[in-house]
Amino acid sequence: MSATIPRSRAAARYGPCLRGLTWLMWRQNRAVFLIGLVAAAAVAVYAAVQHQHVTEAIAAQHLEACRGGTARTTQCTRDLLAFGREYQYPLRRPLQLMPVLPFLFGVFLGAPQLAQELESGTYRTVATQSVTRLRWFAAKLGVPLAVTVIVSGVVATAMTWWWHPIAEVMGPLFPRYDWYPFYGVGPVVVGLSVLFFLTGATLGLLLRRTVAAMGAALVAGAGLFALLERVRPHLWPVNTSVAQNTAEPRVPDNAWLLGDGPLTIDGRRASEAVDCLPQDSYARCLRSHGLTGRWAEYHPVTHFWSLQWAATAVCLAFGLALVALSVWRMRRHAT
Amino acid sequence: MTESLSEPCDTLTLARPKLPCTDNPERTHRFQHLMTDRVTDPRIPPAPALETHGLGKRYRRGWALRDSSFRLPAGSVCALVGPNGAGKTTLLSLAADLLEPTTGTITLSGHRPGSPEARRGTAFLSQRKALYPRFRVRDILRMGKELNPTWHQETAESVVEAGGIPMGVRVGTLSGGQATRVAFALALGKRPRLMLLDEPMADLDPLVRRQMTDLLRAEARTHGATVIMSSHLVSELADSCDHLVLINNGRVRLAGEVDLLLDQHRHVTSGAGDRPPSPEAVPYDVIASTDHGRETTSLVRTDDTSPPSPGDGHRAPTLEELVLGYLDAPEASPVLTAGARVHGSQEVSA
Repeated sequence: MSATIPRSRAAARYGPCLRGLTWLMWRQNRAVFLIGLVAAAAVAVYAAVQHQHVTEAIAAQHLEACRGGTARTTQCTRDLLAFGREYQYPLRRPLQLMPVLPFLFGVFLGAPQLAQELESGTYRTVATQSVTRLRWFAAKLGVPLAVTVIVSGVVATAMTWWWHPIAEVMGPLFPRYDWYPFYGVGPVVVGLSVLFFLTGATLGLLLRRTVAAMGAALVAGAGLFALLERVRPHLWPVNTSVAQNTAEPRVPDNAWLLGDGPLTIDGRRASEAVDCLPQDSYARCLRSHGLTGRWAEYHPVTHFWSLQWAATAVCLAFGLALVALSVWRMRRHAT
Repeated sequence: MTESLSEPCDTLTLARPKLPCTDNPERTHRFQHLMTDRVTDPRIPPAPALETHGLGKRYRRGWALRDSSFRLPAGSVCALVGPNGAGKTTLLSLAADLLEPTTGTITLSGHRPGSPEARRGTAFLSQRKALYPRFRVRDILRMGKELNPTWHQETAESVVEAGGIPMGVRVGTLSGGQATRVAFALALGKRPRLMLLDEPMADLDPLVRRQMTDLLRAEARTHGATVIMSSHLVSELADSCDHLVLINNGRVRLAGEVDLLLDQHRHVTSGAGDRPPSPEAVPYDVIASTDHGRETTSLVRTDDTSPPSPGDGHRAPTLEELVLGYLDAPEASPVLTAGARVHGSQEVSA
């Protein structure tokens, strides 16, 4: 990106120095970039301190023995709940706020990126310099995208660092698959931030009005979130458990139960026999309907990171499609 | 074919006698820093700074520019004139690679507008002269430096300093005229071979207007640059341009050297009661007539082999009279001088 002007010796001597389009992008987005980087650094420091407190508390309260809720003693449960009140509760609010982060990238970094240039006409000034339009466009998306990855990556790592020891020790008492730990930790934070940034930028290119693009980025982001939440369970193959001679499915602790139901004697899935509910012997009633077992579909705890990476991949694929769309649009309509 | 090759040379000599065309080693030398991509062979005349063939651009609302074919020799200072919405901005945007033509072709010194050579050698000043409002003046110049390999910092700084604009001021706080000056600095700092200026003088006071015009003429003279300025006011360009392109309703009506175009027309005043000159009475085409009550003035086109003698109510028209006459008469056949004509052009020759 900075190949237009060869790096001079003098510039190299005075430390890293941005050149060409990279410099222009930095200069144009300086305020937003600095706010983002400072905020990410602050979150990282705060989360590192919290992580320290959490690990010290786990050691001090000898919670290792109760890890993951495996030892189901009353003492363990009481200890874990007490630990949770002190260390999990303060983490919940930040985790619930994490889905806002991708919206910030979409609305405040992505949407104005091209819309502002097109709206104010500065596009015409910059497009008639010596660099080609496509290279300018690549810098316009690439440099803010790099900052998006850095900022969201640092925040996601920090939140994961804070969340992970608590989730490990609390096990089923702190479900992993709810929306708020899931979208607040791990690579999916980066994936969503990248996708929302590109959505905002593409909308800016299409709408050519800054405020309209920002509003549309907000709405489109909400839509994408809803869509991802819908497809999330299906991004990784589910585990199925079937069991005969029982009314309860055998699903491991802390799993994400996606669906369950009665099973016939020959292994077919059947619908719930609703007319059994008022009966005094539920199991006998079921058997009289030929329903002898239960089936269940679920994601075990071990699928957590696979689902995270799959959701990230979906976001990035979507983002790539948006890049292709805007490049096509850019080449076709010069102004 | 040989005749056609020598044409740009002739017209250039006519328009600017102090600038011999290609056989001047000094000029060739001066060109070298600008034309690194094009080894200047003194035997081959330079390609026209701008050449269009059947160029047309259609928007959703209709044709903005239709079937225009003309060329402009290198080193000329050209006024691009026409009413609002005539297609001036469209033509300049096509040259600046901001638009793709619907029909025809356009070349800048023989290069396609989007090519690296054309990009390096062309500066464009848009009508809004849009600059980043939060940038300081020095950031705008830094942008020029970062994005243009041919950047010349001293040139740009001298343009800004001549206006007394401090380098540390934010562009958003500058007056309209000052911002235009900074935009000029950005364009001139690039040391372009071709400058495309869309309504450059609109928000400048008369003094600064003259300074800017002098600056552009100096640039054209010392570096052999070509300048194309658009305006809907003929008067502001009349004394600074040697070439004229008149566009109306998306079509080129006049193109060529100002002197030659004026030579081919007469301004005729007939007294009260006289009928306006008719084709039978006068051996010229009447372009437009205006009835002033006691007298009638007409713009007529002459055959350039026999220009009518002055006096007797005849005189050479001013540039403004010529332009207004053609704007009044959209159906008059276009006039392109020999230097402005391209081969295969459908336009009627003068």
